[in-house]
Amino acid sequence: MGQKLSVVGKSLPLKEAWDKVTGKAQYSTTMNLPGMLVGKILRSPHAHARIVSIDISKARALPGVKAVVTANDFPKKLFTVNVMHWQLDGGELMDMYLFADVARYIGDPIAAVAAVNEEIAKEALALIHVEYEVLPAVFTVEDAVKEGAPQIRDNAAGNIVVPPMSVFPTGDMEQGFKEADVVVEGTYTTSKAIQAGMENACSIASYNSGTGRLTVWSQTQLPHMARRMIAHLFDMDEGRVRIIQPYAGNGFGAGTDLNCEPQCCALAIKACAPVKIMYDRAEDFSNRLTREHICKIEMKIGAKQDGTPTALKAKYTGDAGAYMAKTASGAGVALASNITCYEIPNIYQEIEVVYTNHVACGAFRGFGGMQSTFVRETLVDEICQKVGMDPVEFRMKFHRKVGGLGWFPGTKITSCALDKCLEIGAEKIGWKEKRARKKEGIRRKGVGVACMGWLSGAQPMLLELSNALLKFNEDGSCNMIVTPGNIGQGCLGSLSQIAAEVLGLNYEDIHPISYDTDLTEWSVGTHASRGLYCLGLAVKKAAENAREQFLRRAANILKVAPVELAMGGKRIYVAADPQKGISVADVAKDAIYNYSGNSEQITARASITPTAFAPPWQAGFVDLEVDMETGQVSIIKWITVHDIGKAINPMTVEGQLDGGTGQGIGFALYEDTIISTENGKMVADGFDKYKIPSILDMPDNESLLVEEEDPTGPFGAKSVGESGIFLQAPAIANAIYDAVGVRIRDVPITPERIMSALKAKGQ
Amino acid sequence: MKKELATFIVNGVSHDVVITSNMTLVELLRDELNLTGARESCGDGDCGCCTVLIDGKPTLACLTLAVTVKRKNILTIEGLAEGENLHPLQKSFVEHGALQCGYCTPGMILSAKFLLDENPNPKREEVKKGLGGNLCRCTGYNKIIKAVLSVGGGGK
Amino acid sequence: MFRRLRNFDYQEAETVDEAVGILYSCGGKAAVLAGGVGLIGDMKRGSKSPEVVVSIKKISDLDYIAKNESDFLRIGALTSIRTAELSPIIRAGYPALFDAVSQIASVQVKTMSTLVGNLCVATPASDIAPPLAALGAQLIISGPGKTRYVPLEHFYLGVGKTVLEPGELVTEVLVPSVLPGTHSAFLKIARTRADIAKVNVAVTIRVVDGICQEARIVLGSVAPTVVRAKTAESLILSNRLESKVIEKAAQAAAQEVRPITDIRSTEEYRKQMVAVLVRRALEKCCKNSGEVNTV
Repeated sequence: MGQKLSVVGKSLPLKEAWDKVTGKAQYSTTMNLPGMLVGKILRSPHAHARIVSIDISKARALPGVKAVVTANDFPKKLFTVNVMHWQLDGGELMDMYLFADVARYIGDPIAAVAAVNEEIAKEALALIHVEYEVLPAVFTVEDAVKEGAPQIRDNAAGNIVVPPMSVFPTGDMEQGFKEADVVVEGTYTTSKAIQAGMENACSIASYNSGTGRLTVWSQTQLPHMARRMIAHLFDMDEGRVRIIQPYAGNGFGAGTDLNCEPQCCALAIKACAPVKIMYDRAEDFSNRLTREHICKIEMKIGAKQDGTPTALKAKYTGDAGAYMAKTASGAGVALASNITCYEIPNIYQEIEVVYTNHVACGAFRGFGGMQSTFVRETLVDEICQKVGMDPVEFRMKFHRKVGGLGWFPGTKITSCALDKCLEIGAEKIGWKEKRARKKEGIRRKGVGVACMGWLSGAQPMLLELSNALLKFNEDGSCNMIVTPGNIGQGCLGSLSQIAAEVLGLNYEDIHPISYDTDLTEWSVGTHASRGLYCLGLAVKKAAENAREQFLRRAANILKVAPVELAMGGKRIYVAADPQKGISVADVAKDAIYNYSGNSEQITARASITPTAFAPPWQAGFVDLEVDMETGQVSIIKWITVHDIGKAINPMTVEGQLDGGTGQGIGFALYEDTIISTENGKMVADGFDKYKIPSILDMPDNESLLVEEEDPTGPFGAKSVGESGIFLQAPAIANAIYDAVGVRIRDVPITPERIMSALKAKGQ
Repeated sequence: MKKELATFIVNGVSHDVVITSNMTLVELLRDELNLTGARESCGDGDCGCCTVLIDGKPTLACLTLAVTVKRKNILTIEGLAEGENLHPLQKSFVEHGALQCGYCTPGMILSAKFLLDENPNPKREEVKKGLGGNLCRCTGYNKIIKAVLSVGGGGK
Repeated sequence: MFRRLRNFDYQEAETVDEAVGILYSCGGKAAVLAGGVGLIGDMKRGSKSPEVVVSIKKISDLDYIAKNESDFLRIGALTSIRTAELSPIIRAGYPALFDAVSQIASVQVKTMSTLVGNLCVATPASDIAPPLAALGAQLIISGPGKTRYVPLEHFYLGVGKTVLEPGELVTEVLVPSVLPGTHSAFLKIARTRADIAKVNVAVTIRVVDGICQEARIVLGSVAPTVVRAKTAESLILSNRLESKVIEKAAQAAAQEVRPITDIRSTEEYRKQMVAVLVRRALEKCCKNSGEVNTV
């Protein structure tokens, strides 16, 4: 299309960059309020136990203790930490209590204390006497579904929380596989990952008993829905709860669930003083909801001899941990998102999820799609091998095209530049030459490819309402009041660029206000790669509305018709006679300080619920070397090529992709959330045990953008938030096969697994 | 618990603070001096978020007892800029998009400062080696490396 | 407000004798603070709760790397790992030790931690212990009224356990002079660059006229303490270092260990890697010595 743009498309720094590089940025962990108390949660040491009695008398009597709360202090109310519950029509099962009556995982909150300092709080915890009736527990899916296994919940017979459920089947399985000349299948396992942002979980709460208002400083990514959940839990009206979001040093989906907010609020209410609960790293890794529950996938793909895929069948098994959280929606997204990529006419996918006695599962970048992408993209390579087709060629030929079926029935793909992505990536990595390399010696090289199409917002499955409010100051600058849930992803900057572009203002003229539910209008927040796309549409619409108002007022002042006017360079001027004009600032000031009876403050709002399905597509390429004596994988080069539609801020988009590459490599090779199968304890409770890539572990890698504007996105933009993380595991697995001829079906792909596979192959 | 009045020189300013032996430096900075750029994240030496420079050397404040650094010159991120003028590394991080959530950024910048103080024109591999003790979960490190190389002169 | 550490009595020693005196009078209830990375981390976790913490940071003249008149290498107790990494003496003369210290990922940890401190933590996965043991290092230990010398390979009793008695303080690592024909190598396998080893191996050989006259093969992370692979050594001593000799020794070394399966790796893989790393380390030594291994 080739839009002529002044602000959109520029790599401008984050709005909050100055705060962050000077150390002045306030996070919940760095904040203190006057009179603040330290809160601590007493957690169950047992994976499954009934709470018979709790004696808090000694704790309460300890000098310096200001509140001790247990289940007895508040009405027993079912809730869930998964605030996305409100985003789904009908919600998902609420199966948690503020404090457990039956502990269902090691770490389940039993009580909490607030004291004047951490030392006394810890002492008080030790003085709480809890009588537990320890119950038998199960830690694996296999054990949980066995005959006679201990029942974790009354409502889930056989511990099955989601009985076998199919999601959006199409076509006819039997026919589809009948038509296939080749069929490939396999059973795959993936480890749940931990989001592992640098900031530990933390929240601060303050209750004003005079106004009955509860203020919570939270790391949530979804503040308005968090507000409703907290209001629900404490039987308060939503309007009495205020969520403030300091900068968050964590996210990637971790903020789609509450962590210690509920107990923190309980303490604040009881203590009549602000309370801060801050986890240390071990508590954070052990109690944050991890990546979603899918841990095993059995998939089968059929294709004709010329490669045409005919059928895909998959059975997913999820290990939910102790609570429902977003188990069902995670299941839905995982399966549905697997539909987008290839033109497969017959698809049947089913999922079953089981409760076990360990920490529950939440969301991590690439929600559910990570696991299905890994399996699909490695099986596709097996198809290619069987039919003798080049993996890049296969993907180019058989991916869905514009107008094709999206992830959700009725949705249609609005744009697709995957061919370009594959072409660029293949050339950059040297695909043809490297595929033809001789594989000999101890260290063998291989190349691999993977691709996917994701989404920009989870409409129509989830409520994707976004609101934007623009308020113009007398200097012509604009307060852009939106709720992206700022986790540093650069959304506020990009949204500012959109507003500035429409209004002919500079980036510096847009002031984002985003951190307070008292100020911002209801918006989902940030997840499902929705920030830029959904909020961008709202901001663009609001800016266009504002533009019209500006033009009307300016037309009045200049005594011309609005249609004659243009807006640019912070001015409003007659398009045919640019000298004749007025500054935006003058119009804005005149609006307020208008002594001729025409005064107002120019504001504009827009409310958007996107309906289109605008998938960002992506190709990932890897060149690597396998040491056949040690099984170690050394990545020589990684390339991501991403179909962004339009990069509102290329630097921000690249940053998202780069970060995704780091997490994707971690997922593929190093990160293993190890939960003891003996006692259900989280073993990987620190960065010494759970290894995320350090700078030394990152290979030479590039994130490249393809820009072919999407017809539905703001300035043609699609999403990038999650996309960076999907393709490393499957491309690496494919490259390992290319190098040494073994297929690893378990993630993380460790040297131990590679050596076992080589041994089994007789090498 | 024995209390002691001790002097700490932080960012060139002298502070007299009552401390106990069990106070770590990061706790002193955060609770007593309101300097929250250095942050305790992993608490055991893996992440580098609490990095400060003590007598010019990169030190993990969460594993340092405050009582052991009395009267030493402590530089935190808050002491790097001169008034409104950002240090070249800070400027470079901003311009190159070398931060997202920003939680690791103070420690990362101070480690980079130490690197450049010892080696003003590091090569790419030397930058990586110099930042090996600072974890970042957001950026994948590419733009961090770019930002540091840009201040250093590119390693040529 | 937030305090991670419990209360303890902090004392500062200004001389070795003072430190020894405090340690002795506390009878095992005191811990030595040098770099603090190990100790403070353990205290936060609750795995160590000393009543008294004795800082030796103020003891001047414990920070040195020097050669004595017999060409022995002396490393003082307060010498940081980073100082060792930057030392031209170590880089030139002790390549295995240099490789071990320089591969540690965190500049901050290297700056704060001392070599002696690392040795005294007594983790089986120390990267410092194998190369020093392979060099035949001894520890000089000051105690109440006496000083003793303990070979590093005999310093460890088990995980986290050393031969140190209450009141004893390691003041120096003493490494014998490196005779002509000596070559050493250090290799490590870990999950990531910043992880504790799955297996680490240090090898020192001395080859004269093509014959191996001395050999030390030290294995780390595969037993509660570092292990001298004596059987493996015996297979290369007095032999030419041909490929099949090296291979035999490597396989023998793998039988001399009792690795565990844990979150980092499996018993089977660790055993396999002992063989691979010992072989590669010996090959590296041969390459450096100019010896050509023949089949």
